[in-house]
Amino acid sequence: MFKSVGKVTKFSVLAIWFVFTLFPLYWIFLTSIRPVREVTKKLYLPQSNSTLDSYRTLFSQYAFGTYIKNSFVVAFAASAFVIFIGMLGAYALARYKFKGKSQIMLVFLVTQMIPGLIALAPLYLLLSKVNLLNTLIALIFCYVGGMVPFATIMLRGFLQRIPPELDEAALIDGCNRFTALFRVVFPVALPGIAATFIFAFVQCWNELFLAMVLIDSDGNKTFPVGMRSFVGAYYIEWGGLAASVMIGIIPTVIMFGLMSKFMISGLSAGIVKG
Amino acid sequence: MAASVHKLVRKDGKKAQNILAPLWFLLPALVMVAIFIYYPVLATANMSFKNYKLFDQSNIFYNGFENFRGIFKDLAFRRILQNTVLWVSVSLFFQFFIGFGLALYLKKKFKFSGLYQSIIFIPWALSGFLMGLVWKWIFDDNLGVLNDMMLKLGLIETPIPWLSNANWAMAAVIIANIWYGVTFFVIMILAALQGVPNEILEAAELDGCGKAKTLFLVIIPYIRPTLILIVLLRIIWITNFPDIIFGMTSGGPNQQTHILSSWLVQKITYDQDWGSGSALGLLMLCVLFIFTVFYLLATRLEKDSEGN
Amino acid sequence: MIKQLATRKSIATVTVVALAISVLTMGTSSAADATWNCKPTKAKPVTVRLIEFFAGPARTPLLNAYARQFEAKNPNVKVEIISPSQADSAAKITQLLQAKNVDIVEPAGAIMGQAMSAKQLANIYPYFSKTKGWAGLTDYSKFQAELYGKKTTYMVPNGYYVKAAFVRPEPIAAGAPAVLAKIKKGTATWADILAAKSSNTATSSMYAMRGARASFTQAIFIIRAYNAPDLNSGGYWNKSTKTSMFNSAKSKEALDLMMKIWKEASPAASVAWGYPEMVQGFVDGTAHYLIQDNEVIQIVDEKYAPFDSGKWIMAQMPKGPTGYAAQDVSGGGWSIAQSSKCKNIATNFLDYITTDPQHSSFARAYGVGPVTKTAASDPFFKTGAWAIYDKIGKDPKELKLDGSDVAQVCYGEFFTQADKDMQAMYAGSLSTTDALKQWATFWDTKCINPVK
Repeated sequence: MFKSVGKVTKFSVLAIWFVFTLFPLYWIFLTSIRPVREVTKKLYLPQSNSTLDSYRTLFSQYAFGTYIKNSFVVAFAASAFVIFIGMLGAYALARYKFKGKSQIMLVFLVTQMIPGLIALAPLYLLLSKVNLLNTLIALIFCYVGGMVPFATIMLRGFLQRIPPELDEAALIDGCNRFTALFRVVFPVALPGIAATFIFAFVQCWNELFLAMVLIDSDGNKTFPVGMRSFVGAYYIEWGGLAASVMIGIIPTVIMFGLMSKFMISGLSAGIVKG
Repeated sequence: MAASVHKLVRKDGKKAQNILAPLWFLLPALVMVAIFIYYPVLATANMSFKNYKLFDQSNIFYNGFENFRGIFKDLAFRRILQNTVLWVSVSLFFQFFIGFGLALYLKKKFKFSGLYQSIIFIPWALSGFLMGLVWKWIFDDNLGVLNDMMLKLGLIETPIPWLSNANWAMAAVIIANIWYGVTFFVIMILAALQGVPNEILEAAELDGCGKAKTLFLVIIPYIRPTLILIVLLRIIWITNFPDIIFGMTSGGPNQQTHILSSWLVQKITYDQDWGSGSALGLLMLCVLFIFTVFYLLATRLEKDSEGN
Repeated sequence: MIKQLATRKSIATVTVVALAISVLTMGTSSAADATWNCKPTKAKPVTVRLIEFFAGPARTPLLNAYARQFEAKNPNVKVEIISPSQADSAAKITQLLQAKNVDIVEPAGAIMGQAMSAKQLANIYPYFSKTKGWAGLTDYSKFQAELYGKKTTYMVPNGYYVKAAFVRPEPIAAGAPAVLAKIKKGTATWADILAAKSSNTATSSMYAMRGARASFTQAIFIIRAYNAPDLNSGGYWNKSTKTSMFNSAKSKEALDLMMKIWKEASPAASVAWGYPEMVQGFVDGTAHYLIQDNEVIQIVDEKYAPFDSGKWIMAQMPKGPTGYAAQDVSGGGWSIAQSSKCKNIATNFLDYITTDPQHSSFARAYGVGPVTKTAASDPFFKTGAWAIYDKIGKDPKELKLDGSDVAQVCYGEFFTQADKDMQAMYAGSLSTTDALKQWATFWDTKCINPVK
């Protein structure tokens, strides 16, 4: 009896949140398949005059294929670098005791407090000096710089959960610290790494302000910058915007689907047991 | 842990190298942070003491603390400050508790829990600014589906002025922010919960702990360092998260829904007043820094994490 | 007309004095300047970067097509079209000008004044006046191109934005038929707009107010209508008193009426409306009467109903008590950046897109008033929804202002301040008297008085 009441509560809470989460997305979906002149109609189900015109616009009138590709390149490259650099830093912070450690933690923490926008102008000038304006490389660099502190802090938390005996054993087996980190610790920390990677990826995927400022040409625009084209000065193209939101969801949802396996596998628990 | 570090140290032998070793590991991270975060901030600090308006570039000069004074003297300042506190506290409260609850529910697998998880994670996958636009559309006084739905269900008789009344608009942006931010806590807390060793839980069960007791006496203490850190990060992030407000109201009507960070966006992109914007950014940085120091002192993060 | 031209000239002189330094340094030396003698070779190809202010699917593809055509005709030249979202274009153009990383810009809004004050734009007259593009411009376009003084050209017009009213006749006929008749005749006044509040319904209101970004432009419409014809050619000063128009008692009357229109004849939500929301409000029927630029024709046509359907009509802006209205007919254009390293090539491209048939297709696709003689005689711009602009052009009681005051350096600051004041008035925290006093002081002290 008790148990079933708990179950009912549990599933009603889950259901309510599910509806609340999905409703805006459902509404966007409906908007994306409405004919242009009926975009503002308040009909709660797909109609017979539904059309994919808004989706077609993305690829015919706008270069969304290119935007998506660019976003992928940037998000993947930046996230991979972030994980690499972050793992190194996190390892030092999790495994060593040394002078200035808390100061370094502070240096990382403070970065999170900086309103990103105020860094834009100096960054722009800096990148123009090294001739990197309007390139994806510039975006990757900036994203890595912006996300490394958070990733380091996160990964440090995960590494602390891994017993040091593990890398000690590897050292005895003839690994140096570097190889111990990437051959032995890395696989064990995979759930944490996966989570951090997803965060980094999603942040890059959605980042708007930096990309807006650093990128000029259509060929180098990222997905969010492309989506912003629908916010004209005269009119917000709700149909196109909705269609692009729907498309933009796909890669991140797939990533969550793939990565949630890692996150849920409970690897760390297994290690302690073994 | 301290003991094991010693072991590591002894194993390697040479002492000088050992002090340097962690720094070598940290070097790439520190270099990136120095170039892409601290250098720009220092450069901006300089700008905050200048009259620096992009629409009048022939008139750029050092003006002391004039930008800072201008911020405090601004008629909207008090309201913006109140809004910021409201925005952070209410958003955080709901995001945390809903997120925690969902994470606990999701920890135990059920049929389709993987799918469920992927779906409720979606908000995080979207850009805040664009979701702001989407919510603006849902909340729109005349076109919005929300008023339409509430009218049809008989919940209200006249449309709610969601975006044209400042107080309703604050409620609207906070609701959107809760929608957006719960996912962060679900993911983080879920990951932390996965890290709780099963033995501990089994032991608690053997000791006859009830569910509530296990949660409060075993699980929460175990993941406390993670919780402290993510709550802190979240507070800072929500404070620095203008995207939704920017998309939904742009701070309007009459600047009544601005928070500090969306005000900063307006100063920089619309007013094109870099001096004042930089000053505001610096002020925010200082306030958040002081807050963080107190927060960490209060929760003693260092002691906790070093003790592990 | 002659009188008007005379004042225009006098303004031009004033502005020339104000910009004396930049004119002197840029105007004369251009022939010797290496940046005007750029010769692209295979080893040293040239890239011309052009940034649009009003990017959109109606015009961006055309510009790109022109770029490819131009490249084909000019070996070793590349033209790159930069098309930021319109929501960011002001910031982006400012940024590129500052970084000296652009050749051609479209300095709309407050950018013209700001770029002129920062001396970021080049005087292209000596070179451009010898081109086919210049020869093809209408007289008014040439006048606009020389707004900053005879034989100096800082901007070549690429289209005119004229304000007219977009009207849904059905609800107004139901609620205020007398006003509708006047609207159709072009004699409706601002007081009539208020009177037409009788056409308000539970879900819709008469007037599409603008409460968010650039809301003060609404106040400018009505204040000008009340002060006209006692206005200078730029439309911010009274000729009779030689001070800013905000000082006059008529301005107070006008602004009070505007507040009434907002409270009684506009949707409550309009306090949060910017440009896109106003248009949306008209398209979905929340508002019956919208004052906007010509490019909205295309949007309403596409998103609401074709003009032929009769569901909407075009009308002239409301007039003041004296039967006058006034508006800027200046519009946008292209400028060459002072920092451009290949001004001759950039100007050649400008010449190319200003010549017909390129310009006329551009104006048609984008929906702006044409700047060339051949395009101006195109019947397209005289029929359908466009017919109204012909009427506006011929109406002597609708004064056409030349945009010289809007191009003043002080305008950028006024723009942001007046906007905040406007919203404070809507919120009731600022009185119309105080707002006008502030605006009057601003223009009298911070701007150049062209009528003195």
